[in-house]
Amino acid sequence: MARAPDISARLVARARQGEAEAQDLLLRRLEPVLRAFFFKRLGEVPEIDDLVQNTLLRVHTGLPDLKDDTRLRAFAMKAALFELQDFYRGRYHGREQLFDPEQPPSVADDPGESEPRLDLEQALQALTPHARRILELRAYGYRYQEIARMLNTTEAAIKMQVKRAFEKMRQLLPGWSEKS
Amino acid sequence: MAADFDALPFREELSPEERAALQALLQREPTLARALRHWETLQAHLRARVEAAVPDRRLFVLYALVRSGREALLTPEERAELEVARPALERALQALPGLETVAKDIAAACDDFEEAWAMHFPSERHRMRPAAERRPRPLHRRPAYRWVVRVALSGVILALVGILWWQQTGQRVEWTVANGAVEVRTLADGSTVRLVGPAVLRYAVRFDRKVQLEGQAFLEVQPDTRPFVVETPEAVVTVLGTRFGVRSVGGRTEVVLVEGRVALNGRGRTNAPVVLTPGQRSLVAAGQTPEPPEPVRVPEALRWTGLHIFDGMPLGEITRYLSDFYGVSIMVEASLAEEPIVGTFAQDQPLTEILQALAATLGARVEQLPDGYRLIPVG
Repeated sequence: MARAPDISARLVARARQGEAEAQDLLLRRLEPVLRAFFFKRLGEVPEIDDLVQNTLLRVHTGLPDLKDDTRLRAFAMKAALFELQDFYRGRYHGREQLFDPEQPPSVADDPGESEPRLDLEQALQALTPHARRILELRAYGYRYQEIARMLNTTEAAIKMQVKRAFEKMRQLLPGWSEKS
Repeated sequence: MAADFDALPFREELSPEERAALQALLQREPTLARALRHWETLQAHLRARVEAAVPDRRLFVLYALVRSGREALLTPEERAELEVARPALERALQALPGLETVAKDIAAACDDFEEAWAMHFPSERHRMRPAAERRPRPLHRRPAYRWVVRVALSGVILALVGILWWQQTGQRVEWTVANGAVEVRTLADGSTVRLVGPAVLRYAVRFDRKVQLEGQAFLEVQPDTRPFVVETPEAVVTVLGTRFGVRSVGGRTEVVLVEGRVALNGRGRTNAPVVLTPGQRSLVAAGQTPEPPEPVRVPEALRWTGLHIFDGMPLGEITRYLSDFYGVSIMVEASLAEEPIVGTFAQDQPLTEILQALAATLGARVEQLPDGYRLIPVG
């Protein structure tokens, strides 16, 4: 494997002082590291290019604030971690929804005002701690496959827990399943 | 995947065709539509809770970095920012246990980044250069002189390393909690401490699983090959992974064990330590050996923590304890009374919430009576 040239503190200093050539070189040297990092975390997903570019942008715009030229690695690592967190959060924005939770669904089901308000907190209490943890991780933005990796189990086992949670919610939440 | 109840929780993974089939089915089946709508509402509710608990994920990343022993990666400004946010983040971790897993995942992501960096910039791993690239040695050497210089340089390097080590290990955190206040903090090894004021906890910045306590604390120690040591003015408590309360008040230390095992000795004593098993307490007075362990009722012995700690007590005993604590009548059906319960609740949590959680655990329900509550089996 070819070894990339190092990023010296001198190069960082030049880039920080606004030297365009140094900035370009520094970002080009960082790019493969970031690509390898995001690939390791997310696998082969189409968003990797965007994640790498956004992280490079974070590094570029943050360079003037870098007080110690020898700390580029920490600086770049944090930029990549922040970008990854934004990615997880963004998984729920702009996604197609069959139903907007804020709006009643456009299906032949109008519960009207007679349907009792869901006591979601109470329903959540009824789940096992493991199932609740999975649903929280899902709400955080992780995919089931990623949750399985984090909890040292299989995706099938995670989905089984989710299915059980769904069934439990069906039993607990009022008006969930009795009318047909 | 069939477009039925089984598919609903995973509907975002359906193919366009399956999704269209499901949409058509939902138009025909109000029950299915209602189930999905409730599930979506629940998901949205959980997402809102996560957002409210961690409104700034950047700060949560900084928190996870510190927890994984990477505090040095933070700038002074980030450290200050994190200190302000820390209590809210720790409350969030208590409320949403999934965040604990997220913090670990962030630490794993750091490992991945460091690995990727080392792969691309290997010189930072002190690699040996190939012989062909090494600078040729001078032809005329003076071995004795070189030897003296090497020894002297080694001495200087050792001294510098020693000074750096001393500076790192010598720096200590002093965490003080005022009288009447309670704070929870997670240490670098993942162990959590609930410090009940007035109390002070001191530990090294480079955390070595040794803490000094004055006052009262409830600890949940993460398992590790290194022992976790709590020193009070009177006693030394040595544990591996466990949950226990320590109180150093009025010249004596009391240790109550909830789970695991702890070894307890007097400060400066070399005799065999007293070993506590769950549900036992021991006391150590200054300069003395520990008293023999005695059984206690854990929720009562640890009431000072601000928590209700149930360590496997039968539900009947728990409801009697809660009844005394909150001053209301709580009855429990005979078939549930012997069911053992393990769990922890905050004392400022409403009683109804605690009862609902206990009932849910046992497949029971809570019935409100004119003068209290009753737990009865469902069905």
